[in-house]
Amino acid sequence: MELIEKTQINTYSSLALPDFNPIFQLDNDFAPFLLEMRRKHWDSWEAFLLHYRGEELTLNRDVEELLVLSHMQEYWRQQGVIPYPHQIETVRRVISQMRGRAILADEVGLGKTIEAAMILKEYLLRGLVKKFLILTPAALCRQWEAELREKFEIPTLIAKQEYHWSHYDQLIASIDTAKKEAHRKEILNLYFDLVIVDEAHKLKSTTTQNWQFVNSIQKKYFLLLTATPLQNDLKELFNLITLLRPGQLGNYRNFKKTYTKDKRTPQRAQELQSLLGEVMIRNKHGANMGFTKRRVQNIPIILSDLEQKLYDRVTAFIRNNISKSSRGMVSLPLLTLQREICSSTFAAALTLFKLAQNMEINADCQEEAVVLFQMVQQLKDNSKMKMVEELIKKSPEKVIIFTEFLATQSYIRTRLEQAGILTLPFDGSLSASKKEFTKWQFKEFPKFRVLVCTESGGEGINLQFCNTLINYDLPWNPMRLEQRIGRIHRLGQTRDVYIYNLSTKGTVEEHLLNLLDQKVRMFEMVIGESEKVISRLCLGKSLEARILELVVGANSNEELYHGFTRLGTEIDNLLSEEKEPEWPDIL
Amino acid sequence: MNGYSPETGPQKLSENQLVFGYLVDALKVANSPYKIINNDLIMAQCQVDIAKTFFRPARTETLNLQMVCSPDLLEKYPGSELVTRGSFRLQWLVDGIRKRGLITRVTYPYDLDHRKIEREILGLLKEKHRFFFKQPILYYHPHLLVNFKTSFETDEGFDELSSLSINLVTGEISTNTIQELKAKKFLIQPPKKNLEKRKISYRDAYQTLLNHLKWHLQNHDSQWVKTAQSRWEEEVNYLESYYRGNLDQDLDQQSFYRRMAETYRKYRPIIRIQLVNAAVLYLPLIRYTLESYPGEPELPDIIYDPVRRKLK
Repeated sequence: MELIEKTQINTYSSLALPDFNPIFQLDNDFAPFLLEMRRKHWDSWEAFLLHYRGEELTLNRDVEELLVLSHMQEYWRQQGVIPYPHQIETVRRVISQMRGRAILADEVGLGKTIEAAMILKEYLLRGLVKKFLILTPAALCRQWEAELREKFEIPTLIAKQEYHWSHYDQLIASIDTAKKEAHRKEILNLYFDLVIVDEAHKLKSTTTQNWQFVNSIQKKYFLLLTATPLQNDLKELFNLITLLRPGQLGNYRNFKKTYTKDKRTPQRAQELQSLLGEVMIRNKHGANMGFTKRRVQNIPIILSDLEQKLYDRVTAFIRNNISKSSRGMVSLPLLTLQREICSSTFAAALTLFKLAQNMEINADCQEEAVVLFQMVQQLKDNSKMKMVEELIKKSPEKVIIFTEFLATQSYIRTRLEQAGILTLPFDGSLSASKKEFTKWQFKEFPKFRVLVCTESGGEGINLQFCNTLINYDLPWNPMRLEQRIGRIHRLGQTRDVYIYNLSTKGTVEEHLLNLLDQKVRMFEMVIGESEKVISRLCLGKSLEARILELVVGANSNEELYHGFTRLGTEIDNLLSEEKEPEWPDIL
Repeated sequence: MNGYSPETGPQKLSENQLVFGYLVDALKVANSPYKIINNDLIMAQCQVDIAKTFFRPARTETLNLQMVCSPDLLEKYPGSELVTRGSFRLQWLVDGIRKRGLITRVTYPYDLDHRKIEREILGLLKEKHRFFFKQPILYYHPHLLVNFKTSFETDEGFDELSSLSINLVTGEISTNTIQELKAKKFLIQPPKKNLEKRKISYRDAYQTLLNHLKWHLQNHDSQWVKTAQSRWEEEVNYLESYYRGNLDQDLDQQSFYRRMAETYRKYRPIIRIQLVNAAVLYLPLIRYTLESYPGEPELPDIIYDPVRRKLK
């Protein structure tokens, strides 16, 4: 076979195509049958006939019919998995029209993973895929493994050793592991029937190792999964398409000339859209996508006198010192401190302690930090916590609490355990397997009522079995808030989702929540919609950066209030502007 | 719902009935206890081998199944499982049965009934000569029957089944044998007498059948190859349009050839042949010597195949 291919390659230079006569391959030998005949291990005629009838009934006859639907129907019914019409249509198109090579670019939360897994299962059932590789960010390897096992009964191995690549056929790997020299060599020597790359927007530049590595893998079918095929430059989209099907958009010189005005503005948009439609499917959020409602309650919390006093002094300390940052005071800990003090005093304690010990800052600052640290030590309680306990006691459901800080997470857990409520921690320090185990414990054991998550811990995990979420503090980056909600509000969630936002009155949090709720209208949207809105707000600086500027730039609470009002008006104007059609329209 | 019956044949049954019949027969062959309710629901107990895991040893567990073959019956029998063509449960049973029925050896029992056979032969003769039947001789020829599954693969794929048999004495090949024999009753014991010794070894016979199948496949409808070729040529055009003008650079040339090879490998047509199962059949033949009327030319012997009701 190798020899045939080499001779064929030589003929390509003159573009004389190799012959296309069918090659015969014999899958099994007569010898084992003969051996059984000699041993006289004859079976009955009925069994013989039944074997043949079984083959007849399971014969792959119709190319159009999706086998995965009938094969998985009973299992999905038992597991409560519902394939949505847009997912079925996507699978059908990828297999029958796109010949197994496609970019699945659905908006966030529409089930790209499910679509890719359905395509994989379909090819497995048709016998067209035997060896496959799924490349994904390290944090998502286990999730892929679990999804394929639990929802599609596809067992896979997360490849880590060099011998795994050739010894096993059904592999998942982190792209960082796979591209290491030792693994890379092994992978490039193999032929995969299907390669799936999750988070494929990381392959947007041809000069990166990732792009070149994935491009070099020999493969038959190829799926790229990304919600954001286009971020900054039309060239990124060209590179992604080239990885999939070189020539679909011609070569870059022609593409640039024909389809781009500048790097962000396409021309001949309709023609480009039609070309993209041949290799890319992008399902968008619509009324009938099967999302349940978001029910949001903002809960204002009034700080105790001591808490308010501490908050005011810390804020004043930050304002006074942030301007001196060029003279030795590091501004990053101060910004962190501002976020921490909004979350809980316990989160701020460690930063204050470090500042108090920092010999590089001036003596006044250090003294002030010591005083603040002593004040923090006097505080034994947090006003938000009482509300959290009340909410949990009222709710019959399991609850997820999100916070930005480990110290707050630890405090919440201690307080809840003291109240007799069993909790589980979920944060970035857990290994992937521990995360999976914790998720399983939380799902399976009714005694664990609360999962206390930090942002880094919650990234990418799916917790649709839960429908109540408490935002103990608010991240300043709205995308992170969206990610939090996305853990429970996604396809597959069958119940309405309850979101409780705790915000302390008279702090940055109050202004921030107003901004996100009243201006960005974040909680009214379904996942994915807000992503679009936020990306429009970020055309200049990120919203998070704008908020930071406001917080450190304001000399008083009034100034801060006015600052947020101005930002709100800006957002209002931006969102009401009729935008010229930009690239989301070509997708 | 009626089960599968060899007499009615599959062509007259709906898909659901076929599956229902298959389930019942599979349970029978597997010796699993089962009960049919209202010709709708099959309740069965199957023994399942569970492979050993890290925590538990290998073991056999009993699986209780309640199966219906039509979606309308799901409501009537809550908790039952829908088994249709393509469903997991059907595949599971078929996979289980695949370990069975790999080889069999059977005899088609035949009793000589002179009058009946003579009537059948007279009905088959085209030229009407006048003759007398002499004493017939019943003898058996061994046959090798092999069922093949053929998969036609490009970037798409479909399967076909072929059933071929060869007479191990004369080397005569017959196609579609299983359809002809499906409804017949067979005995396990080989014939006690009049069995002719095979002149072709099983291995050679198999090889002959395989060559015959390949010859047949070479003359198969080639539409699937043509459509794959046009899809492939389209891909080649795309590749050319991408690399056009850049092929003088070594790196691009390498990449171009690699892509071409990858594309060719995706679309090139492959015919995979898989041996499904094989049987040794002892099928009867009847030789008649004919005695012509006085003054009329001599007639050759007649060999009658009572299984296929054909004259040789």
